[in-house]
Amino acid sequence: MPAIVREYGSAGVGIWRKMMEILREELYTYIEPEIIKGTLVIFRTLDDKIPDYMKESVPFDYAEFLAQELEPSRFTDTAAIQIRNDGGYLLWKRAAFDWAILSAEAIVYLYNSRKEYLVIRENRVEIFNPSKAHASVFSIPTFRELKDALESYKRRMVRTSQCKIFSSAWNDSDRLFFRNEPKPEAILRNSLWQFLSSVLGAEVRPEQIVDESHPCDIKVTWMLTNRLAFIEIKWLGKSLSAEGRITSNHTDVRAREGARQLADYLDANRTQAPTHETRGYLVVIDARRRGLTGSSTSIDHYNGLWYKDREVEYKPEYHKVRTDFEQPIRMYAEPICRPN
Amino acid sequence: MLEATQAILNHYAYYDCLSICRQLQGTLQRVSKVEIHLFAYLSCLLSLYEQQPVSGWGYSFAITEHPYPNSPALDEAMEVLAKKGSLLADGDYLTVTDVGNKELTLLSAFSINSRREPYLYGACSSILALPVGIISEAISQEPDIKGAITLSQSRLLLRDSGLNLLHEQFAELSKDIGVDVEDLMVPAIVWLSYLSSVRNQTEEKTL
Repeated sequence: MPAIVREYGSAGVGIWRKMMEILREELYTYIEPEIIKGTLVIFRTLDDKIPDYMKESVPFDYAEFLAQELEPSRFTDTAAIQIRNDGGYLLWKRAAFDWAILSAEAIVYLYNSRKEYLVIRENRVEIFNPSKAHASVFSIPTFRELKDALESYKRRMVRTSQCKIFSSAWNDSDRLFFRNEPKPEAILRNSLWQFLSSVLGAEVRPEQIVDESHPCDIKVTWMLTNRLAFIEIKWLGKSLSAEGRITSNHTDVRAREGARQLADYLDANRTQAPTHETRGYLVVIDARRRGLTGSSTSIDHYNGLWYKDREVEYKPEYHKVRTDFEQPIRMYAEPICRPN
Repeated sequence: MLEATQAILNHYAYYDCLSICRQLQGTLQRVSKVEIHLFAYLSCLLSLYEQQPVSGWGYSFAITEHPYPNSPALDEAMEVLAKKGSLLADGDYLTVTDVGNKELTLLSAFSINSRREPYLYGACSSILALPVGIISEAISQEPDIKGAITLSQSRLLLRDSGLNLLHEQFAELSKDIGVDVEDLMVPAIVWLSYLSSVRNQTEEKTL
């Protein structure tokens, strides 16, 4: 940002302020940066002029329609969007151009492979993104309820393994097995912790001791209130060693163990922090695939998604018999399925 | 009862609560009480960046049992504003009502309040570049606050050594930005990004 001040002065800062607002509240509401395969350039000229050397563009009044036309998961080239002063947009789906030249008359933002830059003359200045879980700092939402944040994590990060940290837990590119080392437990905890730290306006801490024998995976504290939450994470599926040996095979029994463990934490916490209103959340990362053996290297749709909608049965159902136990959240991590 | 409270009410804190809440609710919809304290503190720091004396802010901040800066003056103001119907309290969250918006428009016409706006606006604009959870974690890395948390001390902030450390950081920050900048969002974002990266590095080492 100091580079904008130096290069464009106050006018440039004003334009960048507006661009950040539009990125956060409009464009990245409809365009998910995680799935962009190509390069996306977004710019706003200092005088609202349309660069005449950039050929034909398609105009849009709404970001939603622009996103539909852009198809972020499909384009592999460079696309460019101009933000106009009247609130509209211009889209170039194939924009081969020297952005350094454009930056002489515009504030130019560039996104490529989970990195974002401001293009200033011939330099690219990287924009700071504190979250490893999110591809763009401008696509990080704020949730007021933990339940909503977990739902977003399930859909955006786990289902297709979009989170960079989460994806490092896989042993193979088709997402059949978790790796044995480092342990999936630590990676999955780190992924969820980083995600929640960014999206919740609360204190989020990993591996917090409830009492001497109870370290829970994640603890969330809402300051100035007496609200606390404990999150226990369990994964289902198989892990594989480097030698191709199945080292763990976690079934729904594991999820039930997690529920019991969480109930114990909540009991222990009641003694430790009796004045707090504490709630327990069981997060089950489900990576079960049907008929997988140690030598499997691919899976079809039928077997790969066999467990997608098969919920775990809990006995006892703590979420029904206790008032401090939320309904367990199963997050299915899909494999890449291939035809037979 | 209300009259008695108003007699000791800090009018700076009163204005700041309304202004911060209205600015943040555009993005956050609902604003938590902690966020009012945090962004008021960040605004105060921006006034120090602009070389205003700490005493000129009008109310002080402390670290008490919670690891974030808080001010009793802000708590009182929030309470009065909620009782008057200028702020709507929904559990832990606040929103400015129509009555509050009218009151804010009226109050912002006074120069004693409008002088504070660049600091409040600069601080609240940082949520365009960083999510609120990251901002709150970053502020906990501010040298004065970090010192108090590390030593588990309850103490007033922005006094003596803590203030000196902060001035040193701000001198570096000002050098980095290089030129005078009207929009205080710029130093706010650069400084918070720096604190956040320090925090990330510390956490990576401990993981």
